[in-house]
Formats: sequence, C-alpha cells, structure tokens
Amino acid sequence: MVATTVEIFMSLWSIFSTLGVLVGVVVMSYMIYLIVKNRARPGGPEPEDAPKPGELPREQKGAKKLLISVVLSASIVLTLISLTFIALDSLDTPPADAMEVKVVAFQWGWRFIYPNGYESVGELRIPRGTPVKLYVTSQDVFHNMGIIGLRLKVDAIPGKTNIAWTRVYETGVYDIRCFELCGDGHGVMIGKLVVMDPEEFNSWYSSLQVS
Amino acid sequence: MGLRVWVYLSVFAALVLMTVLELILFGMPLPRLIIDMSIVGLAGGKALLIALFFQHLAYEPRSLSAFALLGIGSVVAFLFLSVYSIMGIAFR
Amino acid sequence: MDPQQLPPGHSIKRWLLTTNHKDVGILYLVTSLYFLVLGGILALVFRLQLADPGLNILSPPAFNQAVTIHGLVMVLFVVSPLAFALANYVVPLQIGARDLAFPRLNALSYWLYLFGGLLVMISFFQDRTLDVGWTLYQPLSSAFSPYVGVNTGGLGLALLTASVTVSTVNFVVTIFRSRAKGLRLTALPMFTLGVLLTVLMMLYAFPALLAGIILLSSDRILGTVYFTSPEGGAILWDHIFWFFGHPEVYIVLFPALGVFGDVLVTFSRRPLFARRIIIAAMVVVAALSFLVWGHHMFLTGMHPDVRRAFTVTTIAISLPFDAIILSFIYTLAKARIELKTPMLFVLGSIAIFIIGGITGVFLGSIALDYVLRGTYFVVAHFHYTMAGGALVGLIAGVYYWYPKMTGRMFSEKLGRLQFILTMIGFNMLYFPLFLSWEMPRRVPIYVESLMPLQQVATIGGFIFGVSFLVMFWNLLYSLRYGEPAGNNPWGAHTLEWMTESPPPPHNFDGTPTFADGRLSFIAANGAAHGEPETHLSPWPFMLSLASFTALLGLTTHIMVSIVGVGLLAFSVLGFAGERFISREDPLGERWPFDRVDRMKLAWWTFISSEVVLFGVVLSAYVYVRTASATWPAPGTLLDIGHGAMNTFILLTSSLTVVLALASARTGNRTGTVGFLAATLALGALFLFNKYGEWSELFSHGITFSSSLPASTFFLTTGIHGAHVFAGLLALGYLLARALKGAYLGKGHETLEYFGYYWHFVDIVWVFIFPLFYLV
Repeated sequence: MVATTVEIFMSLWSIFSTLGVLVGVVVMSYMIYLIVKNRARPGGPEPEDAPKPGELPREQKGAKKLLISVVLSASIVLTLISLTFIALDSLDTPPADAMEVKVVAFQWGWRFIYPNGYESVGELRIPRGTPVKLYVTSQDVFHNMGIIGLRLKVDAIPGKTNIAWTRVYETGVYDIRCFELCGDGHGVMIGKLVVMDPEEFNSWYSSLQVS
Repeated sequence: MGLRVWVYLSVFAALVLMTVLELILFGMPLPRLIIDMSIVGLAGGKALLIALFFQHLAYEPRSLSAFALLGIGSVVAFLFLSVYSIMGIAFR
Repeated sequence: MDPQQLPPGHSIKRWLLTTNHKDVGILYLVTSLYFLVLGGILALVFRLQLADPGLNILSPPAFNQAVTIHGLVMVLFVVSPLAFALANYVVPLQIGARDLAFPRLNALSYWLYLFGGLLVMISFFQDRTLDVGWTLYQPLSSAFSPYVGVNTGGLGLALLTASVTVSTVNFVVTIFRSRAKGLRLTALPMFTLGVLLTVLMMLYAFPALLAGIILLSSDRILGTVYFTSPEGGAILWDHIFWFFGHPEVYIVLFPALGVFGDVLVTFSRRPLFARRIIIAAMVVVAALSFLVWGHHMFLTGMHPDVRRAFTVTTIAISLPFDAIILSFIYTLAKARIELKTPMLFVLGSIAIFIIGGITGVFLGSIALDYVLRGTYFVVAHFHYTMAGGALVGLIAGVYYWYPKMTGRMFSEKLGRLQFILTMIGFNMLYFPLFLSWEMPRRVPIYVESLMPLQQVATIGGFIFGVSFLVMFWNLLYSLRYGEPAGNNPWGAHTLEWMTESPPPPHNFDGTPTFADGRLSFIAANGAAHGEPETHLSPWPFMLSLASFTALLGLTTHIMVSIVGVGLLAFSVLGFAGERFISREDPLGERWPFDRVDRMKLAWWTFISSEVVLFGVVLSAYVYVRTASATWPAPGTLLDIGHGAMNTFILLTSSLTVVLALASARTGNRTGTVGFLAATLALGALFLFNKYGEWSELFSHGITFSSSLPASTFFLTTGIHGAHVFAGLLALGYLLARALKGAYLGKGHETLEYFGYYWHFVDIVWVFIFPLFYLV
C-alpha cells in the first residue's frame, strides 16, 4: 500500500465493485435469458392473460418474488452503508501527531503554508511515513484539491476550511489537480506533492529561511 | 351580514391582536430564545388562520390542504437540512 | 367542435397560433430535437479536443463554454422538453381528454421554452456565454464571471423556469381533473403516471432553481452579496442548486420509466409484473428525491450528521429502483416478446440504466466520493442514467408513438440500424469514461496514458451522433413514404390507440368511459356542447415574444426592454380579454379533487410553486444568518415602526379582499367596487411606506451591497414588493371590470382566485415581519 487513504479506499472499492459487477452481471444475464427464451416465434400462441385493446391495466401477481429480491438488495445496501460509515470514521479522525499544512487554492494554483510559516507555491513536500493533515481553503472561487494516486480529495471553499489527512508510505511524486471547474485556467491548475525520505525532508525543512 | 362576514371580521381581529402580541412580546424582559420562538410561533398561527379562513381551506376538501402541505413539507426539509449542515462551522 | 378551425399543417399561421395539444407536442418534439443537434455538435467538438490533449481546437474559455452549454441544453432544453413533447401529444389521449385543461397556457409554455432557448443561444454571440459549468458554482459565476453573456444565459434559464411552472400547473390539473370515467389514478397508463409524478416533482424543484437564479442575477446585476460573501457563498448555492438538481435527475427519468412500462406491456403481450408495487416505488422515489441532494456536496465539509443522513437516503433510494427495474424484467417471463424498434430501445435503455444505477450506489458512499468526486466516473454515471436511461428511453417513446402522430409506419430496418449504432456508440463513448475514473472533469489537458480511452470515447461519440442522423432520416422519409399505420399497429391496449392515427382535433368521436371496467364511448351529443371550442390564439406567442424582448433589453439596450414591457402589457390585456372556449367534460374521474374545480386547483398548484420560491428565499436568509458570526440586533438596522405599519396595512387589505368577495357573492356592486378600491389603496399605501423605508436606508448609505443583512432585506422584501405590485396591476384590471358590473353573483369565483394570490402574499409578509424586524 502506498498510503493510508489508498488502503481505506481500496478495501471499500473492491467490495463495492465486486458486488456491483456481480449484481449487474446476474440481472443482465437473466434479462437476456428471458428475452432469448421468450422471443415471439411466428405462429406462436399469445399468452393467456395478454392485455386486450380497451382494457384497464391488470398486473401479474408476484409480490413474493419481488419481496425476496428487494430484501436481498436491502441487505447488500445495509452492508454497504455500514462499511462506508466505518471507512468514514478513519477518514474523519486524523492522528494527533500529524504534520499540519495549510493549503490555499487560488485561480490557478496552490499555495502551501508549513507549520514554521514557510510558504511555497505549486509544490508541497512531505516526509514519508508521517501523517499529514491538510487545512484546505480558497482565496477566490470554489476549487477541489485532489491528489491523483493517493485517493484523496477535499473541497477548497472560500471562507471555509476543510480538513483532510493521509500518511504516505513510499517516496514519490504525485500530481495535485483541481477537480471543480474554476475558470479559464482550471485545466492547468496542477501542483506537485513530493514525498521525501524523512532525513532528506528534515534537512530541507530546517534549512528554510522563514521571513 | 352573513355568517361568512362575521368569520372574516373575527379572524381579522385575531390577526391584529396576534400582531400586537408579537410587538408586546418583543419588549418583554424574557430570554431571547423564548421571545423569538413565541413570535415565530405566532406568525405560523397567523398564516394558518389566513389560509384556513381567508383562502377558505377550512371549507375545501381535505385533499386540497394535503396538497398545499406538500410544498410546505419540501421547504421545511430544505430549511432544516441546509441550516443543520452548517451548524458549528465558522465562516470568516 | 369544428375541425375546420385549424388551418392546414403547411400554413405558418397554424403553427404560430395553435393551442391544440397535439400540435404543441409536435412543436416541442421538433424544437427539442433541434436543441439535441445543437448540444450534440458542441459535445462532438469537445470530444474531438479530448481525443488528444495536444490539439488546439478549443481554447480553455471556449472549452468551458462548450461543456457548460452542452450540459445545460441537454438537461433543460432537450431531455425534459422531449419528454413533454410526448406528454403533450399522448397524455390527453391516454386519459380520454379532448385537450389539456388550459390549451392557451400550454402553447404559452412552449413559446416560453423556445424563447428561453433563444436567449441562451444569443448569449453565444455576446462576449461569452455561460462558461461556469451547468451547475453554476459560486462564487465563480457571481463575482468572478463579469461577462454579459452569462447574464443573458441566466435570463434564458429564468424564462425556461417560467415555462416549466406554467406547464406543471397545466398537467397537474389535466391529469387530476380530465380523466375518463373509471380511469382511477392507479389505472392510468404507466406513461401518464410517470408524467404525473414528474410534474409533481417539477412543482417543488423548479421554483428552487428560479429562486437560485433570482439570487444569482441579483448578485450579478444589483450587487447583493448572497454568493460573493463567505457566509452565503459556495455552500448556500450548492444547497439551492442541488435541492433543484437532484429531483431534476428523476424529472428527466420518470417519463422514460413510463415509456418502459407501456412499451413492455405492448410488446411482451403480458400485464406488467407487480404494477401496483412499481407505482408505489415510483411515489417513494419521487418523495425521497427531495432528501438526497446533499450527496453532491459530500466534500464541502457539511455537519457529520447531515453527511450520514444523505448517505443513507442516497443509497436507500436504490431500493425502490430495484423493485421497479426487477418488475420490468420479471414482466418478460412467460411473455411473447416482439423485438420491434421501440421494444429494442426500451430493453437497451433498461440495460444501460442498470449500469447507471449500480454506479450511482458507488457515488452515494462518501468514502468513495473522496476519490470519484469531480472525475469522469461521475460523467460516465450520469450519462448512463440521463442519456442512456432517459434520452434513449424517450427515443423508444418517439418510435412507439410515431405511427399515432403521423399515421405512418417508420422503417423497421432503419430503426434497428439506429438501435445497433446507438448501443455500440453509446457504450464506446461512456464506458471508457468509467475507466478514466481518476481524470478530472472539464479539463482539456490530461495524462497521456489515458489517451487511448479518450480516443475510443471520441469515436463512440461520433457513432452515437450518426445514429441520430439515421433516426432523423427515418422519421422524415417515413412521413411521406411509410406504410399507413392504422389505428393500433402494435395491438396495444391503452386508450390513445383507440382512435384514428393521427387523431382528429377533438381526439375521440364520442366521450370515452371506463365506467363498466371496459372502454366504451358515449355518443357525442351535439346540443350539449354548445359553442365550439377554440384552438387558436395569438397571445401565447405574443406574451413569450414580449417577455423575451423585455429580458433581452436588460443585457443589450434598455430601449429594447421598454419596448418589451409595453408589448408585455399589451399581450397580457389581449390574453385576459380574449374569448377562448375550452370546456371541461362534465363526466370524469377526478379523485381526490372531485369537489375542487379546475381553476381552483390550478391556482393552488401555482401557489404551491410560490410557496417553494419564497420558502427557498427565506431559508437562504435563515441560512446566512446562521452562518454569520454577527448580525445587527432587532431594531438597529431596520425601523420596527415601518414593518409593523406595513403588517397592519397588508392584514387589512386581506380583509377587504374577502369582503369584496362576500359582496360580489351576494350581488352587491357598491360593496364589491368599494372593497376592491380599498384593497388597491391599501396595497399602494404598503408600497409607498416601503418606498419611504428604502429611501431612508439608502440615504444612510445602506444599499444592496452593504452587507448580508442589507442584501437579504432588500432582496427578500423586493421580491415580495414585486408580488404586491403585480397584485395591484391585477386589482386595477379587476376594479375596471367590476365598475362595469362584472363578478356579481355567478362570476365571483374570479375574486376568490385573486384572493388566493393576495392572501398568499400577505402570509409571506406575516413571516417576513418577525424574521427581519423582531427576531
């Protein structure tokens, strides 16, 4: 696993997608089976209860069959809701020892403010293995900060600060992009997240000149 | 004067009284929350009186009142959930 | 009923003046297909751009305009109007009515829709049309988009919401009041049922959009600070927009669900499986649709309780859908399935919708939303539901009812060809977008590894586009050369097939009834009909043209507006004074509104939409007050004396209205005229007092843009004041007619209807007074 957020997402995603594909395949195969089996053949008999012109609508009875299907889906749905709530708890509770970085989105770029007051535009550096808590806001319009590959996203809203956190286990470089249409430069509002070896990070961080 | 007219006049008198009551409540030395709730409650009562007796919902089939309530219900859902969603959040 | 009244189909006069529901249906059909081509071409252009991020077909602003207008046009000007094309044509036929309840209002809906679309198109030729996404997020579309074209586009949307409100009132009244005897609500054909639930959702959703557009336009034009201030801002807009926007998803879908129901029964030769459960499930979805909007704003940082509540409602809404779709599929068991073009499209559309529905459950999970929000996964999901479920489903409807509309069969071969092209093109276009689930939406620039997927999508888009050309050719060619269809080519059982194709202007010879549980016709009794009904009126077109002109002037030249307002006054008087006859059949199934006449029901429907409009505006006030750290104490910003005085004035005016009504009822002309005049005077006094209050505030330098307390006060009381003003204009008209002796005795209902409006305006003030002045 690359990061905590990836872990949380992937465990949930695999359950949703397995169940989703399963349900989709079963339902659609059944539908195709019925269509192929019951295709009208020339001269074939008309079903006995075929609606006649001018009749009021009747219905095929089958509440039981439907009830079983719906109870089955209800149990799937309940499972999905509870799994979501469990995942949400971890996403909502950042560890206490996290490094806190303020992110200010603007048309069209990202400004990062480190705990020591150092500011940089476009590139955020974090140490590997340390939880990072992002306080995200915007100075102009509605943006959304998404870190591709880390399965992390948070709305950047003027006047409001939203919180997101992750912990990345491997060094590497990730794209930060805007996921909410924010004007002409929306497509080029790209930043970088650099995950560094902790020692390298510390030496870089302590060398910063903060005015 | 017919019965209807008497109803109209009494409802009007009640509306005026309730408005005066709102104004009196406004100046009372009571906790703000109690005053506010009572005033808004009185407004709801006034609206109900107007709907029932001036717009004649009291004399129409229940289905029409139920229909009118649907719209109010959707507004209440909107008000409640949108305001709840920002409880305890600071905007600068 | 004189069929000769309608000019022939090739005369322009017929199409400008017609109020017949079938003609209006055709107008809607042609116009919505025209907008489909427009929205489709825009899509193909940006699909070309997306085939290769290195291409420079569209500049970033052009790209943003293309995706924005594509979205707005497709959702609001194509899918819904296409559904209403079918609804216009088919619903009166399915319920055995001669026309909609208010034929002139129906024509008015159409023309308002067309002119609204024209305003949006004109905005293309101004500096910039809407370029802020169809969701119009804030504050991008208020403080950060200074373009005139955005104003024009917004006004076009306002005209569209007017059109929708008018047709909502019309369809609600028609379906409740004009059904053939014995046609209970649960016995309605599925399509009419779908339309009924659709218009009920529209009734409560569209006024919220109108409220949003009014607040937004006020921010842009008057300088209020609803969305430009952080306390209102982005999240307030999100709530308002999605409170409209999520029901809107079901609004475009439900007519298609209705098509599914009718077509499945016809082509599988079996009754619908668990029909009553389907209906109940649709009612549940319609109600729940107003409680799920928050899933569009999971990452905005809402209160945790609210996020959880929205997760539960959103995922739960999949259950009734389960019941609906599974019942459709179970219907196919032991059936005799004829795979004719309409049936193919329905089956294909259901299959596509299943994928759309399942992926919708993914998006209901907040935790997955942390990844999927704002990506192509969302784009793929809603195209699978709204393009695949709704649009493709409605195309099934177009084919299904084409023989009824034209009297000709279309080419089955070409129909199948289109079906194959649609299925291939659609899935090639949208399935790769699921796989691009980490790519942001609405960007022309993306990582190269996604290029193959995007290119497959572009090719699919062109195939999907060509499939529509096949359809257009088929529909046009068959108009002249198709086989004659006869009354009931599909052997269907519903009422629209029990008359000629195309039906005569009055739809049926005789009055259809299901009183004995089976269809029979009561012979038309010529004497009972009296004067022939009217089918032509110039005023719907004139009113819409006038509104269009008045709005266009706001963003071009003020003289244009002045001409428009003059034309509007002229048209309103023309409309009100025209002798237009449309009778309600004395026989009919009307539960639950048997004892509520159609005008009364129409007024209450309209008042309901006003309730939501003011409800949202007042909620916005409560919302920004809750969000604000400080707010002026009562009595500091506003003078309580002004508010109290206006309360007493308006309460008294409500009394005078009911006293005028009581006088009219007993034939007392002096009383009627006197009390109407008193109401007029009190209304004018209210506005005069308001004028004094506003000028006082202005003189202290407090204006629209001063602060949120000032903005909310001016705009809320401004919208209310505009309603009072409109009421005064109506009062002037009523007074002028009362002086000539109108409304006495039998005609007193008009005063009752006016009273509904006036008292409602009073009720709004009853809430404004404490909320703004005292609390």
